[in-house]
Amino acid sequence: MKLLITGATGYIGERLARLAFREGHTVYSANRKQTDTHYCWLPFDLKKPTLEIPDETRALVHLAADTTHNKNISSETEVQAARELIRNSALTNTKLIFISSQTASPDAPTSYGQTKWRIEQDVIAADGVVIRPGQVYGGYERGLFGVLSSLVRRFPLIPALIPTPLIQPIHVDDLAVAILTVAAREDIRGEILCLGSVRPISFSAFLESIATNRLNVLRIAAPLPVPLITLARAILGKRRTAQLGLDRLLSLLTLKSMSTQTSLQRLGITLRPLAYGMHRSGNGRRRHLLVEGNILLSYLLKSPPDQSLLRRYARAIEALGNGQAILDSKLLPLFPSLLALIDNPSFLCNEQGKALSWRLHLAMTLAEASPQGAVVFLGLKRSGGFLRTFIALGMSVLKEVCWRTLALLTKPLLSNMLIKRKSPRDA
Amino acid sequence: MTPEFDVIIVGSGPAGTSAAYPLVQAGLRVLMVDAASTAAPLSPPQGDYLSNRANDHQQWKWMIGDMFHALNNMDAVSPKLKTPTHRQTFENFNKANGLETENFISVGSLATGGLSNAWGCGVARFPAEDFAELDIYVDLEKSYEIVSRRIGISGNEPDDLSNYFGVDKWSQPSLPIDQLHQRLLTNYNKHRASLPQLGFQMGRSRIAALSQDMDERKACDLSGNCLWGCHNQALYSSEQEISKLKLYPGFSHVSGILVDAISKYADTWTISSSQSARRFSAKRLLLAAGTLASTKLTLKYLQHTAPVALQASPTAAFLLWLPRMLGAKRVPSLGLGQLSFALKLASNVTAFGSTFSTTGLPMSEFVSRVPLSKRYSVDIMANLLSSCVVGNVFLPGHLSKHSVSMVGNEVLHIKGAEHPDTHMLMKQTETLLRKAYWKMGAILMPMSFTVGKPGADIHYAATLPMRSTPEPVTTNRLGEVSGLKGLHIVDGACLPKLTEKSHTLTIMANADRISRALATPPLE
Repeated sequence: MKLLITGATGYIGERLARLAFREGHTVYSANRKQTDTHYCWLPFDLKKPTLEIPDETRALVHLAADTTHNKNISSETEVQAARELIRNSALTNTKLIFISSQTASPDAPTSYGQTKWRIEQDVIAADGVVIRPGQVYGGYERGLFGVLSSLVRRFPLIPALIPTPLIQPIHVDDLAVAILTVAAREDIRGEILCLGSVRPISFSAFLESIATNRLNVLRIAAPLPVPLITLARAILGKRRTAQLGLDRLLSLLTLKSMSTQTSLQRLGITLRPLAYGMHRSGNGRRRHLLVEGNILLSYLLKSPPDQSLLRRYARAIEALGNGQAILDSKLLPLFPSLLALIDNPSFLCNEQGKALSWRLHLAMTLAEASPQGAVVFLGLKRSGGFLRTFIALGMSVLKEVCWRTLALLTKPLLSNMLIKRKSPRDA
Repeated sequence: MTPEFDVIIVGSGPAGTSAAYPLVQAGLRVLMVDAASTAAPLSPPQGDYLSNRANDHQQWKWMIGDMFHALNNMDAVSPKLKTPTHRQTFENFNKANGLETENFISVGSLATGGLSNAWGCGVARFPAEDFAELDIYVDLEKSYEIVSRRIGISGNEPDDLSNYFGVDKWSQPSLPIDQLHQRLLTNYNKHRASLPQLGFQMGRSRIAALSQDMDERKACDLSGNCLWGCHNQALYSSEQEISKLKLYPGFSHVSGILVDAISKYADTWTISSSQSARRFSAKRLLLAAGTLASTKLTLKYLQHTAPVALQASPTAAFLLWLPRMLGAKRVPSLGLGQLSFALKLASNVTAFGSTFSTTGLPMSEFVSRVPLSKRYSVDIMANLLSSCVVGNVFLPGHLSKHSVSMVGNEVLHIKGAEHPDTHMLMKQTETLLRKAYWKMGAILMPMSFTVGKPGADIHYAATLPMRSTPEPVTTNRLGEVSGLKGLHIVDGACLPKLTEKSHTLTIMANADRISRALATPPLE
């Protein structure tokens, strides 16, 4: 089908255009300048919104908006541009899909949210479709997600806002799929679709996920009362606040939760879990598996495993198991030896433990069948000798006793600290 | 219509190939069929085991397999069942043959060469008493010699087990043993006076592995790959016989045919397979498909549904530690039995077993049995196992109460049941072995003595035993099924009984004996 996208170079537009192109659709990119030669370029500017929609264009996805810190364009201009697009698309019988925002509301604290709401009204009236995405993340670090990622990267602390705002993340590629679905589906018209995780998560959990799942860094959450930020805004003034990107952060504070389940079901879309979407590949499953393999193999071999061995572990779990990691802990990747706390019969006999026990055995068999494993399992590089070996045996037993004692003492904490039941955090 | 073959042999394992020689040598037209798939088996590792382990980055391919064969079979009873090189040996056997088990581990092979592709190579002669009633021992003894010389066995030593094994006169010299076994043997000889009081006798293992080159097979070079596949072909496998048998003009071999029915019309036997349109006919039919498969074909033909007794040897495994050898260096050594023992438990019960080096075995096998955390179990075993040997022990087959019966027309139900005395005898075995090895300076490790599940020994026999006066569902001296002229059972199924000794050589000798008898008078 033919798809016209305004703002095809933006955070969402870029991923949408790429997905549509890859799926074999003809993509028209309506922009001020031509940037990508894969797509047909149509000159378009929010200030001069005349646009000639090509014949038989199935849908017009309106993403273009002024998101610069210093508003160059008045909201009136944006509304007028949208009206022009609505008029044009009506003439060519093109479905208009407007990507709005969760903040859209007649009484939104920002003009951004108010403008979105005004445009929404016109789009619905013209039988177009409005999509309100929650917090978009993933892919390249752009938009608010880009701001947050660079904040997390730069500062050792992440703010745990009190009271914490709740957000409903959606991966940029999941959003792109949703938009394409809306474009293709004849029966979806004249409605508002709210897209984001069904269960809202706290803002600080989202930042933590950026730290752990995307940037692979350890960040400590520092409590930050909201009144302090409000105060900061008062001191800095509107202009400075906007420059620092703080106004966007503030808009989160007043965010109302959306009910997204119906919209997701209507589109037949399941969102990827946050942890997976955060990974650069957009698919954290294998990464988790590799992290798990690294924990188990390092634990057994007492040294980081060879890359090929690690990959073999992931491949084996994919071939023989469900391909999902079961270890989900922040401590274990840093200190694989902590696994000794739960690697004992009293833990491994329950259901969760059995799954881990199977993986340990599998990791052990794989670890042994490598030159690295041969050294450890056969003691090939040991100097041998009666006394030395006797002492080594004694040390092993002593270490075992120490870990067992520690395991006994820390038992109530263990399950939560080291292993979590795998429940994807999202819908 | 005259049938296209004089004799059809179903199965290409030790029994089938041994039965084939006398027939083709007599100029008969012989067809051998087996159910092997055509895929080429994985080639065994080259070079010696320890250097491979230290340097070969691809070692996981032969240790675990491209498709994670070893991980798929983590519950298997023996490390052999997990070895990728042997994957095709065991694959599909139960399913393809329609075997259903209850408290029984059933292992068999559809591969060319059958279970001998992965056997422990233990050889021994059954005593004359075992065949007393049948009056066949003179012929059988001759067959023992023929077979022993053909397959090549080693372990010729004038020791305490010389008579027990009874194969020394046809054997090559012994292979060298490792320093742990050397120490055990030295200590045994020191205490020779007192150990027999325990009923314990020890000597070198007699094994079908070459210590001298034989034809294209090379002598064992102690590379330690016994479990993983021998690149020298020093270990005997019936698969090696096929090319030699093909030199006889009357011999044909067809693979890929899983015989699931036999039928008789006039004097002609016909075999057929539901997966193949091909049918073959002959005047005589020799079943050598392995005890379980041969029994099934026979019972199915007889439409016999009552249970039939199946013998298997109760078995156990244990770990011996030689404290004085703590810290010994790992060196490549023979992966088969190095020393064997016979342990008298009662007037009619002797236990037999062998001890093995731990070097060529996957350590994970041991680590997973230690009740400590894996990390330190690995440590402990890495330090301990170089001063340990593993042992196995078998009891006579009459100490089992297993049975097989046809369920419907297509399924053979195998039911495992222990003999009431077995438990006590196993306890006694453990106690006596502990005492005997203690005297030799070795500790039978606590908790290591593990009794295998019924069938884990993979010695199945005596479902259709030979009798001097055959009753229904037994066989005559020539393995011919009672009332079914021309249908002979030549594998373990027709053994009159199963002793504690390794039974493969006896199965082969018996097959040879039957075939020689069949080949001597011209088939009418």
